[in-house]
Amino acid sequence: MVRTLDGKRLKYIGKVQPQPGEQDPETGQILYPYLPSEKLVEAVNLAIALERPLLLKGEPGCGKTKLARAVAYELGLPYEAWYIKSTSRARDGLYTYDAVGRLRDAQLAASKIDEEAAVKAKNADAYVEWGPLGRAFRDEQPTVVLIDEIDKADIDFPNDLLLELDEQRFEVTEVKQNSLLKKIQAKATPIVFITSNDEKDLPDAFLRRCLFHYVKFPERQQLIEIVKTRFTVSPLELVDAIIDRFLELREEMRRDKGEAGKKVSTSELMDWVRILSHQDDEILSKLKTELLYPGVLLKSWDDYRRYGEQMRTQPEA
Amino acid sequence: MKIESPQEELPLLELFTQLREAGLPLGIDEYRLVLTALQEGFGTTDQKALAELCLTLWVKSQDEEHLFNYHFQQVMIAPHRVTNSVTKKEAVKSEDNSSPEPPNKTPATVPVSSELMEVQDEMQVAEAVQITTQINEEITVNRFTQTDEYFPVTRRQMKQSWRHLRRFVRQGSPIELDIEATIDQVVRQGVLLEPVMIPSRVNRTELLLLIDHKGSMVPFHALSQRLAETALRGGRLGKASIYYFHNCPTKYLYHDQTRQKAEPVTDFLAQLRPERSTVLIFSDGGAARGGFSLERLELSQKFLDQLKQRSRYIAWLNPMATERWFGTTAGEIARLVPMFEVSRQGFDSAIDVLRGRGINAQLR
Repeated sequence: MVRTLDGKRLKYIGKVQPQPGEQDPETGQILYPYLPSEKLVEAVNLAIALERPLLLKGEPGCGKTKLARAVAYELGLPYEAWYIKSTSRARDGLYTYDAVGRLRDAQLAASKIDEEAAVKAKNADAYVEWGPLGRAFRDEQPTVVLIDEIDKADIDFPNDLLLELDEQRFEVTEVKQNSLLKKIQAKATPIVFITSNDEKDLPDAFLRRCLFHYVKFPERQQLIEIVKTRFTVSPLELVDAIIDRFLELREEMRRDKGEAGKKVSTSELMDWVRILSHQDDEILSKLKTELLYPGVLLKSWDDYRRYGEQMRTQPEA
Repeated sequence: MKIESPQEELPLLELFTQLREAGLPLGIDEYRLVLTALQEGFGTTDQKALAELCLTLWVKSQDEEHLFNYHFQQVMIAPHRVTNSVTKKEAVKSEDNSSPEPPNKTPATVPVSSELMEVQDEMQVAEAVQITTQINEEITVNRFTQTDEYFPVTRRQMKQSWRHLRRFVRQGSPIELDIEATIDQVVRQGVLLEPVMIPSRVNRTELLLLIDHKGSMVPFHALSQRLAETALRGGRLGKASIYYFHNCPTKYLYHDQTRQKAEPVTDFLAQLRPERSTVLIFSDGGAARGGFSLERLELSQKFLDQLKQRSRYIAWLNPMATERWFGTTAGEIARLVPMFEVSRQGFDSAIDVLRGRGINAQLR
């Protein structure tokens, strides 16, 4: 059971939201409200209670990545994001060792250029740089860790993380045996969120240790809520019209391409609302006849031609 | 709710067992997880919450979700099936309030999940395989349950085997520190100016999977589908391409099963790169129907001769057991190219050949 320092059991309710314009104190990014479904909230609490990573899948743009930040915000916990690249290795998330820096310092010391370097080069501990999971393990408080798009990496990657996620410990191989940094054991169980875009199958052994939640695309009412909390200026009538038009387009794409194709997503809707809310008063009538700024929504030439053009050819039918 | 209570008292045991039998990879650990969660108070409000809980803990993909819903419906919602006290309470409670499922939704009307469809298809193959191999009691008994295990090679084993197919080269932008080269440079220059970086190792093996389709291969479609799928998604191959043909590649190979997108064999051969292309052919070579066809042999030989000029690594997988090749076209083709039956061992041997090993052992 993940508890905070004062022994309270952590529970996510999904209702505590940042104020408009509030920034992440560390990165300076603007924080937006996150409106999770009830099922998602339950899944998060389950992951916290059972101390298992929560694996999130769902179509791109449905809000998988943003959840971790929202949970960290509500629970007031530190937040670590680890964005996986195709070249990422499991160890990078724990720590990296600056062997080159140490070589350089040793060199500087040998050539008597920098006397201080000699002292530093002797100390193997000084060259350990912690990765997101490494920092989370060392923190006294439970940390919310996001491992974003795990399926981008090599297929060995998830399996390489098993021990670390399971037993919450690892060793720093480069430091001396008696170093305090040698054996790292998590002080508090981190709350781990893992997202996957389903580009590669994840190993069974890894799946077994995760809880799984499929993030569904928000319903109409939920979309309205999301837009309302994010954009305070838009009149309700306009929001309604935009979302109707948006859902119509989505449905049309679903019919044409089936469930698997790339459809317009919430993140694109946000961009679209931002653009449209700065338009003139005639926007409502324009929306009915044409797909305004299709480039914000449609990201392939095929889609652009198909849905962007089509609207213009059927005026007030 | 006590874990140490007798077996009949264990909650959700029937659902758990059914899901296991249906092929979900669930173990004691998963079951314990549900118990722990229930003790913590999760999923205890109503049946819907309970289903949600089990979904989160036991199901790892959308496909499995269909399977789960079907069995949950059968075990937990159909009232006469309810056996243990806890589930009874749950069922009664939800009936009192509002039943989450419409009452007319009996198991018979539940939409057939993709798994069940697959099972039907795979049953065909199972039967075909069964005929060719020895009669195995277990196969008949377990046909409806362990969906993966009666297959000669399971999905998981396929993925594991594909992973052996690798030939690493350093490629791409330099991101790894080359310690040896850096030290060499330090020795030569007397001072460390900058470290030497090298690209990381990537698998550059290109797999071209040529699949015989239709005709006598129909019973093996699910198997070939699985081969293609695991090669594309599960393996760590540099590149994998799937081609289809019928009986023997003659003028064209096809990118799709319906044979709409054709590619001339000459183009196909021209794109092969001798040092990295590996070709795996999946066909019964005429062994399924038996008999010998000189025409088929000659056509196959012609194609294989062309192929050998462009690629060093060629293997043939035959869905029919080795004993059945004798006296058929397949038996003769096996003299031209390393041919293996589809079994764990056969598949691994084929991969070995594609890696450039064990060719001589096979072709004597």
